[in-house]
Amino acid sequence: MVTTLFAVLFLAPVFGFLINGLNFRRSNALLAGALGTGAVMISFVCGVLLFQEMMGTIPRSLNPNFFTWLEVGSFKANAAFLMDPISGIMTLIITGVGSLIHLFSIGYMSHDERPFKYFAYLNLFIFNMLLLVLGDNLLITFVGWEGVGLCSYLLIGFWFSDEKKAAAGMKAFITNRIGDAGLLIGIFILFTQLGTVNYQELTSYASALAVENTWFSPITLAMIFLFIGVCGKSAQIPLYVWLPDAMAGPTPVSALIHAATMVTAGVYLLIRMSHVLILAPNAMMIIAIVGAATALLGAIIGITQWDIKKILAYSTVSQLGYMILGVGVGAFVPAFFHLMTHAFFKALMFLGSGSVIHSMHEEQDIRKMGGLARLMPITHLTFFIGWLAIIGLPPFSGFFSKDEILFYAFVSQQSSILLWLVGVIGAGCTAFYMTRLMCFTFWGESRVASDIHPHESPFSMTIPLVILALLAAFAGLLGIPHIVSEVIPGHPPNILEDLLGPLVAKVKKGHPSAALEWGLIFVSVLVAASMALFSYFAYIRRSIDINKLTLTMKPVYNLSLNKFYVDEFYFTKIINPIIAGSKILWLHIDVMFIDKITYYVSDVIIKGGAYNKKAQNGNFQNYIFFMSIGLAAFLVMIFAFS
Amino acid sequence: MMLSALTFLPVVFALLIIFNPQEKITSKLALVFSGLLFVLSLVLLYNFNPNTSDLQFVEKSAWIPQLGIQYFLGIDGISLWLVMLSNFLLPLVIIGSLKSIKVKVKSFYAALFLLQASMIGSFLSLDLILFYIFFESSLIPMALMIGIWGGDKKVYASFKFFIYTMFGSVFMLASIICLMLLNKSATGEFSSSVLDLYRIDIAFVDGRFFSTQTLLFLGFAIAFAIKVPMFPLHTWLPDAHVQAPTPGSVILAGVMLKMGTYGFLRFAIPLFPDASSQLSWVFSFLAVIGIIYGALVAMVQTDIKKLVAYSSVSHMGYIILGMFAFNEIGLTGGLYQMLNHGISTGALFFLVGMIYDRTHTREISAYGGLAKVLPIYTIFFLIITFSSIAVPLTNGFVGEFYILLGAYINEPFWGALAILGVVLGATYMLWMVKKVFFGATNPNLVAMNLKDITISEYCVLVPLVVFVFWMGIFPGHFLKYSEQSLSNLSNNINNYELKIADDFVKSKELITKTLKASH
Repeated sequence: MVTTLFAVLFLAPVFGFLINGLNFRRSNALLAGALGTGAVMISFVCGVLLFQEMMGTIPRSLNPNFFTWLEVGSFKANAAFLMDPISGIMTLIITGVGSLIHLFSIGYMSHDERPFKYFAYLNLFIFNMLLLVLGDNLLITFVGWEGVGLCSYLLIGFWFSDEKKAAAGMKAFITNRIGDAGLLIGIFILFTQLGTVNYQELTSYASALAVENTWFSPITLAMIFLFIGVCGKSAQIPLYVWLPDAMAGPTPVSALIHAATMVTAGVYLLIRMSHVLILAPNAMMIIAIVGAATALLGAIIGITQWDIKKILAYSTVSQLGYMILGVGVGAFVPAFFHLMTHAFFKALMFLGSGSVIHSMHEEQDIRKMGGLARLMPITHLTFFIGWLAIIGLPPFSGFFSKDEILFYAFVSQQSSILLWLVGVIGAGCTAFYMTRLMCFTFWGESRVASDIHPHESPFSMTIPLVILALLAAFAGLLGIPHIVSEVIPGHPPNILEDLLGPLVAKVKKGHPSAALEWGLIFVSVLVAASMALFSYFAYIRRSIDINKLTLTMKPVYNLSLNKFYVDEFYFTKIINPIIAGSKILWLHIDVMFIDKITYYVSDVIIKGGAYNKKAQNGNFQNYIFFMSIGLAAFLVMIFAFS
Repeated sequence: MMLSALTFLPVVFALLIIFNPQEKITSKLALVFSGLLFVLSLVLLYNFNPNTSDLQFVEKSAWIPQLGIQYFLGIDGISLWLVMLSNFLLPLVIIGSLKSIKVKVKSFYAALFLLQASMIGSFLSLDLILFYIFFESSLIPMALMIGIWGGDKKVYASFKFFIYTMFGSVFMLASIICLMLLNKSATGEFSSSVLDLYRIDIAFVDGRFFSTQTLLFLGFAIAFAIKVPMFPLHTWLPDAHVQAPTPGSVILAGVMLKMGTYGFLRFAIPLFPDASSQLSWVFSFLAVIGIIYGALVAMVQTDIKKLVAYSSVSHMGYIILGMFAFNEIGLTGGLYQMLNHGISTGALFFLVGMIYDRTHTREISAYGGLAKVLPIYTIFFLIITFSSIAVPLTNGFVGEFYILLGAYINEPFWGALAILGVVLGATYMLWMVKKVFFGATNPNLVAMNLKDITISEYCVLVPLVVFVFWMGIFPGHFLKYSEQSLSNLSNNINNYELKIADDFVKSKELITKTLKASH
């Protein structure tokens, strides 16, 4: 039964991919969408059934083995799957949010030429994402890991006639490949050290190892290399540059792949490896620092962008930074919690922006929007809930998850007040730019071009928005922290902690007082609320002169507007020199040098031949004579050396 | 008789094609013949026993007894798949040639079958002199193919190919003769059978660079390194590939280059284990340089076919790296990658040929937005691209992963450095794909009114794509045949022995017994 459900879970999107893919020339978006959405919904149902089944087993896990994929010598990787609460919840998010986004896409892609191709790729993505989270070993995860990268490549460049979009897809794939190379090295080190790539075995073998306090010890190195892979997939410094460009893809793709699921794969992997990770506190320190820096960088860049999708993209970079920060300070459950709530509210906001872009005829510049709240009430209301969730106002979901991470950043064994501070500043920036986005898009007076008549989107698009808004509003209740639940009547349990706590490693966090915990909550809510108000007063009430403020901060403003010139740096300092160097290798080493030597050798032989022409007098005995001399000389040489 | 049939039937077929009076049916005849060979090789596979590392289907008889030279053919898990690969590619190559070869058709197919005979012969020979003859005789039909049916600079490329490879082989011949003499001094008898030569102890002094074993090893290694080709002996390859006609390129990349890597695996490494482990760092180093260098140079090519040729240099570097890891994982990866490269690079050359037949240009800049014009062709090209850049669930991943893991276990530095090739490989392929297939459609391409994939092209590409996924998802189906041979090699690399399977010995005994009884 379990095996069958697993098979259907995986095969439904594969068949969806094949059927849609083989009909790629057709243009009936409804049919393609029905097939694609149906396939993912079947997966979702299987996921729910399997989740139920899994919750009934002790310990909570299903571990079916299909066949041996790779086996040579001592290396073995089965095509086997592991569903426990971690991968179970991921499965539900992927197929659940995935179904909603498929549904949304039907309306969004209704005017596209190639809807079959689109839904085929989307189903293929779901398949690979499921492999990634459900694989019971690092290799199956790696299959999904590269597979989702491939789908991301195909979907970012979906409108490939636009060279920029094709280039964005390529950039995403290659940047991810850099990460994947790191991940492979990490896998190699783990295999040579622990002799397995199976998660459960890694976890149990790790418990026998001592914590490493040096930098160049194997597990620490393995975790650092693994983290390079995470930097690629989860868009962390220095490999985050592909994610903003990835917005070239259709907007539902951004919602599904570049917000809710694929980009969180790195966080998932680190949580999966938590028992190994805590053996390497130095690696965790790097992870926490990179996470915090990314959270802040994304938020700062988000402040000055004008493209609605770019703002959301940098916001995603920033939010992923929070998750990674959480992992780095040992807040494994809160990081997963934030992964989940972010999947809801960011998918919601991306789809909301899709709804806006769709009705604005592909306009993405928020300066050309404004006042859309009246014209698109459902989109506005749902987006509004997403806004409340991301800026972290209680009791919306983002509040609980982000605050838990910041709490750990303050109190855990791995923490530092600096990390917490960076996190809080980032949260302030987040509140500012998200409010700015709301002001420019939905509130204030309309700046919409006269030939565009925005209208509310069809039900196929608003229904997913409503469902996601409900999730974004209430998902936080799954992980109410202890201190909060104490003051709520009925003392609701922390469901997520109960489910995931036993599976992840524990990091010491001392015994912080309740006052401290409340104090931290108060500070971050205060910062978020005041920055949101500041933004509102600057852009709607205009009681703060934002232009003047911008002028006084011109250098910082320009850095943020130009994204800190990171892309330019990569191009001029890394990519172009490599290309120039390769040209030198080709034209000067290959053609001029190596080939010249071979010409020279053949020249010598030919000239030698001309000189020896005299010997070539047709006298066979002479030939034999010289041949024997040559051979003898060679033999003498060989035996002389032995 | 099986192996002799596989080796010499192509010669018979070549003669039949030449002396067939009806020129019109030449290509059909060739197709039927190649189909027969493929069926025959399937029979071989079916009867192959995967549970032993012993040599099977052995045929052994004296040839020049005074010098101990034998007619000695046999097959094991290492040579099996290379024989299968070349018999699998041959019918596809013939289908692919239907359109691209229009002059001297009879001679072309005759050359193709002669080439097939010499390649199969090289993979099956267990006598060094016999091997040498097959190894060398493969040069002539290939040089003719490039020289007669090639592009503008065909004569230059053909000569370069011939002289380069010939140059390497001379050293191998000298080494073979030395080995035979060594066997004479060790056992009192001449022999050129590898089974005998594996056993002799060749003088080797650790720490000294030029011992007998090292020199003899180098004699073989130069010949094979040129064939592979390894950096820096690779410069014949881009010229040969660019000038060769499509079928020539496919055979060259698909099978002929593997004669070099196979040579290392069958001869150079097990015959001279001390020397090869002494020099393994040199070969690993050159392999890694080849991987990275080939990829970098591929990145700046303007001609698609040249790009694919340089990518071959990079991919063949992986194979050498895996083999010189000397562990089972690396060796398995090396062998598997030989097949993968045959499939994926073979397919790439087919694809490049197909588009060249339509547009008569291979300049990347002449394309752009081809995906709009030829959508199905694009799908095939993308699938093969993913195989070539080793995306998981395609064949390429399995081979590359094993190689890198094996290399890493052997020497972490090489493994980690070679991983750069994974990034660069994706870069040059996807960059080319972007420039050729994506972006605004080049108006010239629209004006040409190009036709998408034809039925005969489907016949070529679909089997290749099937193997891309089959080998990627179920590598066990293929590797189970080679497992015994490879673990025997990796576990006993210092005193490697190959035995002849019992049933052969038994049947020989039976024959002698019955003969005696009848006397």
